Amino acid sequence: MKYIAGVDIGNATTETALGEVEDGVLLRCVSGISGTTGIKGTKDNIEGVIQSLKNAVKKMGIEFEQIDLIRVNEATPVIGDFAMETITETIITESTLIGHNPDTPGGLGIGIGKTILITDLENANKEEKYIVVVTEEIDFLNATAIINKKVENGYQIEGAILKKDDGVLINNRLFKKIPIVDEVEIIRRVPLGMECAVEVAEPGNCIDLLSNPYGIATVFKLNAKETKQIVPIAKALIGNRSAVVIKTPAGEVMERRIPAGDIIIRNESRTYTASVDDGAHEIMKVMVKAGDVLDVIGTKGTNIGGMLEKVRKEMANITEQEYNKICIKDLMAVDTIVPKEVRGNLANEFAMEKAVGIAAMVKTEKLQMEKLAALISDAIGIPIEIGGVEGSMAVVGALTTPGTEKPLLVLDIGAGSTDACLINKDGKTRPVHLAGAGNMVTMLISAELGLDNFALAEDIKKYPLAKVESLYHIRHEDGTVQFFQDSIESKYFAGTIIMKPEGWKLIKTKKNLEKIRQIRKEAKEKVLIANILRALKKISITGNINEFEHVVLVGGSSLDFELGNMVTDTLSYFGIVSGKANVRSTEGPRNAVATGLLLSYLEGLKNGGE
Amino acid sequence: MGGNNKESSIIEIFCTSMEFQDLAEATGYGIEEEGIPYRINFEAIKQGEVYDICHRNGIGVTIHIDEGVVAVFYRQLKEHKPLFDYHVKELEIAKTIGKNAARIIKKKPFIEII
Repeated sequence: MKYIAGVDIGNATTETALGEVEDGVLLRCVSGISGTTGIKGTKDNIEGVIQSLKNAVKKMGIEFEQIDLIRVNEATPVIGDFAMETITETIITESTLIGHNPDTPGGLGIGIGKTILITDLENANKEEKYIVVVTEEIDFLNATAIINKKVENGYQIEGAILKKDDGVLINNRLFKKIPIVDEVEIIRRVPLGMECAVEVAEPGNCIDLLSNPYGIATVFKLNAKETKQIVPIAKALIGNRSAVVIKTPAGEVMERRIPAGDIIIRNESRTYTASVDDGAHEIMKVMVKAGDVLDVIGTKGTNIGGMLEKVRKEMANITEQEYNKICIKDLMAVDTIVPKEVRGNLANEFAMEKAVGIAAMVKTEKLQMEKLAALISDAIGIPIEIGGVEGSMAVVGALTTPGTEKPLLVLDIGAGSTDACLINKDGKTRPVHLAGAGNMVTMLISAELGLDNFALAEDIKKYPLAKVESLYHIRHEDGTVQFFQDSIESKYFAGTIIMKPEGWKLIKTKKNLEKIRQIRKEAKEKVLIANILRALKKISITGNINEFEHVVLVGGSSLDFELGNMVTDTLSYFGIVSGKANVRSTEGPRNAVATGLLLSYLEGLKNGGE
Repeated sequence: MGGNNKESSIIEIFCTSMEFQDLAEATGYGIEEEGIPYRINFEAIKQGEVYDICHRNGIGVTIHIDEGVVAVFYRQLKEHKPLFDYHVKELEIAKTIGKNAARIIKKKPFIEII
């Protein structure tokens, strides 16, 4: 009796298929799973491997030491890691604006004047028009009294900027109505004695003057060059109900541009260049033209150059290889829109900028995996051998799904990479490894929603959403309504929630459910669906996707609640039957590679192995 | 009847003593900032009665202030389960509770009360 374990170290999880083997026959098989520790293909993985094995050993009812052999996947030549950033031209304009959307600004209309602290109104000039700045020390009753008294005495107060949320309260008590913008977080950064314009629109409407570059130019008497410089400010204010723009003195307006840069792709015979400014579509067109890529670099001193060098350095450190031996084997680019902080803002305002998200995959030496196997073997005292290539092992595992047969195309959508492998009638396999998978989707969701929180973006990706419409009912994103006997916790009221199996999670954003859902679906289409089609084209001999009949999905991302249907929808257009695998009839799309590693050992025995 | 309708379209604040006038006013300011009408009543009235009033009141929200405790009642909730029930020491908190009471009607997420 022997116990053989197939272990698949993935980007997100480490999976085990532990088999009880007697005379070359598999008597029993159990699975184990654990989160991958460290970056895939590095010595940090040891802990995850041990945990995954322990998980399986417990189910089998044996001791850890009884395992006779561990077979790990040959994750080389691509160790399948990625680094993703949004690359865009960075425009930094030093100007001052407040363009936020406080929930309840006060008053209505446009006010233009010089900024002055409310406590300095004593020294004001009756001929001058003023915008008063009210800090948090002055409560709204005092502020109202001061403004009313000054207006009665003939001073021209045209608008107000408040730190606290008191806009409506002040407006309701003023004799002369003025536009008031409140909830200005960094009120002390408002420059005093400067020309300023305040605009508040009616409820349900957006500002008109300050979101128009020529409107700002009219207010501040700007020339054509200056008008061009304030375009990002006007853009940042579009769609707001209230805004403030303050003209800074000449010389304070600075502009610095960091170009997005060019991507240089090298294959066996020549190099190709794609400009990041041309967008993801153009970059991917050049990638297709280049075919089998040997390396990718970015132009020096640019955003993309810096990002790709960072990938190379990180991978050199992790894999302990020489920096100049690290080659980027594949790259995936997607168009996205990200919130960029507008420099000089006073209320942490952002403008939406076009950007390109990049996932890069690095090629390393086969030796790396052998080193890792030796390290794991030393750590746990059990012999380890490297099994077949990851894609080929996934096919062997996927073929245990009821209703499948050769030829079969298997898509393994993991966290870091999308792997595809075709097995023909004779059992010959043809694998491809592509950059970009689940983690890139998470990155896009996080970037487009401006979350800065990977775990929350991951939850948005994985689970459906709902809106808490009252204290007793929620509306799911598909429109169905669910009522509850007991009242819902008040913290969820009117919020958008993620329907996690272990409990609800509130998304603290002003974006509504429909927008979040749209961003989530588009991210999956831009990365996962696009990569599936790219993989099919790459693996096809004729370059025609229609040549495939059956496609089976394996890997963690296949568990996604909507991806299966999205893939079926897309591939049915090409006449392809697709669906999630059910490895060993019990595991669903998980454990395919680990099962393949175990079964290929048995196959080896049959073919005259040990 | 017309008078009743007019009365029912505002948030009623019931304050049991003039001692808590500041709290009642701060709560009212919070409601006002959110743009919802309100009225402060000084009456020695119990929580249960304030809960009953929120059922007769078209807007469905009433507030009871007694012994420094600000309690917000909503007609969908049970009598002994006010939506917010805080012993308030700072007027800013009372203002936030007022804002949240108005937000029930506006169906906007509540502001966290720290």
